Amino acid sequence: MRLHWLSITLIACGPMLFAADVSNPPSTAPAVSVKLPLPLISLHLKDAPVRQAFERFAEQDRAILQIDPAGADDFWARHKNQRVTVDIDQLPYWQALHELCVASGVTTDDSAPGVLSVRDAGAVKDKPLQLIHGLLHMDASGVQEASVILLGSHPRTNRSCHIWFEVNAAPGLAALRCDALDLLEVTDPDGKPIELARKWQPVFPFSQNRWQLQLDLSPSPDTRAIGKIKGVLSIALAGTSSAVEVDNILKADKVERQLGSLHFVVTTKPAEGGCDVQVVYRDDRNDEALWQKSRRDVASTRPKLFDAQGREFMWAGGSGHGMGGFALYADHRFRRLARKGAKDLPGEPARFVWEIATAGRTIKLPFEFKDLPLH
Amino acid sequence: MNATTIRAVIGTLLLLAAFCAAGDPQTRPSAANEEKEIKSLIAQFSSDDPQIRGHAQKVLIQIGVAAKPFLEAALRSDDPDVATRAELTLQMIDDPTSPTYVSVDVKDTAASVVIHSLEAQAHEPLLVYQQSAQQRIAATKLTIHAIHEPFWAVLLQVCEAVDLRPDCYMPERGGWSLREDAGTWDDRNTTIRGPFAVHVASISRQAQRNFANPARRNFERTTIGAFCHAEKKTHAQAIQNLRVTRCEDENGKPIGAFGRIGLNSFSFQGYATFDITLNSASAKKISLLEGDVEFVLEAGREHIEVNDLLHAANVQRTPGPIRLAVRDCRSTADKRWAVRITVHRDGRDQPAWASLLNQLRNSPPRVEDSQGRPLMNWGETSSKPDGETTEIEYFYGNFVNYGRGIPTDPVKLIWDVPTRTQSVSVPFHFVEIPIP
Repeated sequence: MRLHWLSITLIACGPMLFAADVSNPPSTAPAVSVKLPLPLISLHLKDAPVRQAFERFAEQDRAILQIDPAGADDFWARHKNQRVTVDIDQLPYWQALHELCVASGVTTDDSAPGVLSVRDAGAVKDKPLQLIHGLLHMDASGVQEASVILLGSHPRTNRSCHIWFEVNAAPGLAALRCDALDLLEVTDPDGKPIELARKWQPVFPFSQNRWQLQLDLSPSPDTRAIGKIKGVLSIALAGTSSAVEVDNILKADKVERQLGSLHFVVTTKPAEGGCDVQVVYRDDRNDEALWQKSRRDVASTRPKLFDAQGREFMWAGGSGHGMGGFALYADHRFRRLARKGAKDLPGEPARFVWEIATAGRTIKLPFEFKDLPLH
Repeated sequence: MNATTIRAVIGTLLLLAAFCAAGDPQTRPSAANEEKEIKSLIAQFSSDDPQIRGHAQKVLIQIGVAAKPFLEAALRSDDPDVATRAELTLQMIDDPTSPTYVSVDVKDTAASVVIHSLEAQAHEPLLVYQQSAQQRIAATKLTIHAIHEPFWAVLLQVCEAVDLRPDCYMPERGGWSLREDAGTWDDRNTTIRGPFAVHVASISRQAQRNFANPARRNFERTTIGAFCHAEKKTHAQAIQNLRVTRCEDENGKPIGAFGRIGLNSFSFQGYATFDITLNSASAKKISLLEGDVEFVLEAGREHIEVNDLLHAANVQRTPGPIRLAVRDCRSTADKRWAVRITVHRDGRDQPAWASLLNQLRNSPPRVEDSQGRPLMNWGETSSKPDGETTEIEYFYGNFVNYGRGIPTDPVKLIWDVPTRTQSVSVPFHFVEIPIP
């Protein structure tokens, strides 16, 4: 079995790698070639134990293999007699993983970055509402509906319907954010259009390389299913990146950093089990269009906090608000919690790192889902 | 000045103009007649007939605030029976669990004039910010005959005629907002008990379905949302419990089981939600819903003030039996501050200690700038209440304009510290609630 780590230019290889197109960069984006190490998976196994198959896959993915739910120690024992035969040759991540799952009867579940989490296929058997586009994977996850009667002398009934999708990018693909969702068609089973309740808003990191997208629809009271939902998703990939780094973070009091046109001021407030890092950043160019782009780039990644041994704190939430003009305030809370797959807890906060990437190329992911049931 | 502010100012001017144009409003029985009636009723306190004395007292309580100056004068009466009963009547008028009685007796009178009169009688400012609601008030004339009736009942009559609903209490502005929203309260879904009103505002049905794995994260829930209002005179600070005793279909059979209850309290107002797991997914209405809501009222208060707040450092105050210190007021972010108050346990047992902290959390101090403009209070946190002291941190921001411009930095803390509380159970009764 061979490991294929290719340093590729997405623009050059895009049409080969993706079912979707790769668009030209937006005019405001810097013209850079994005070179990324993308894993192409090869797995040639005949009657191999299931465990071995996933271990080999995880090696190539450079991921920790774990069982979900944690503690299901009898998982591999239950699959001891199960054998896998696959002939996967240099396939993009999601296609390779899908083939392995189909062949093994074991499936993967929501995993943290760097973790490949497997579970019985019985629990999530037969995901019919998914799209696999090479290095991107999109699921129609579920729907939440609410009908509300506002009582009064003129009672009024409102029905809302939130459909959410999950988009996963393969590890190694430097996906930055979902920039746009162009909805081409939403209809009921009879082909009648269903209105959007509100305009879709760009989504910033849900977690690394994974997003949850929500569409808010206004179906009529008697609509029992979405017949078809079709559109194109735009995923921005990271171009160049640079980092705001502050050592001795516990003592940071209005520490200033400059990244290109962006000026950062970092202040730390100690908190139980970690610290809160307050960051004010402003764009010195005083140009509205450039500011809108740079604030989206900044919001597309989360800062990280490490102890002196490089152990990472859990990002426990954040908030922010505008400060007028071309400045924003952001408050990031870090707490000493065990990350999934981590061996021990971090010690004292030591180093703050905020890797900020500029959006480079955009991948277009066309999608179409049919027959999503409503209540 | 933004568009909202301009609209609010225009609306206020419209209301004032309508009020002025209407001249002296004759919304109540004439002052001379009322004075005559009150004096006659007080004179009946010396009657030998207990029924006459009792009836006089009842009517005076209903007249309420307008009777107070005459009753206060009667305290100095040579007749000890009159003085004693006057004192008792005054106490009952001020009783936080009795309603404020108001009178509106008008024919074809501008709605703005009636609203103004109602505000003045009840000392409850009524605020209208929606432009469409302002226009409706300006265009409506009312004919209402309500003599010595509870405030909420008369307010509802006015709202029904103008097609508005009492919405929420705005603590920084000290009044109730009236707005358009699905019409006024439906009296089938409103219970008025003394100074309290409980109103079912909405009923919702929510469902979640996981496409990939129908067994996971799925639920179906029916939730009723009810507003619980209390007049300002009650000094209500929270709702702390809600109980449902009957929830039946048209045949008198229980329609479902009760689950989660959520209570959110604000000054003089609470919002309660409670879930029902319906026996039948096809149920279309709740024919009868009964239960009660428990309001917590402040039964005692002591006033404290701290000047030069930004430089305060462990300023000690002892309102009644409570020992506390204003530890500091620190900037937490741009336009945001936190006021830290240290509260001493002073030997209280655990239930009393927890109760004290609750009552302090429910009544945040008012923080003002140098011109007396309030900063917005947007929450509080407290440390674990198991030590000898606990720290409550109240959060403020100066980003909201409450009509006098956006406040500047905090300068003064003003606090009517609640020193005692009492609970009042308010029953409710609703019928014919449709289910979506």
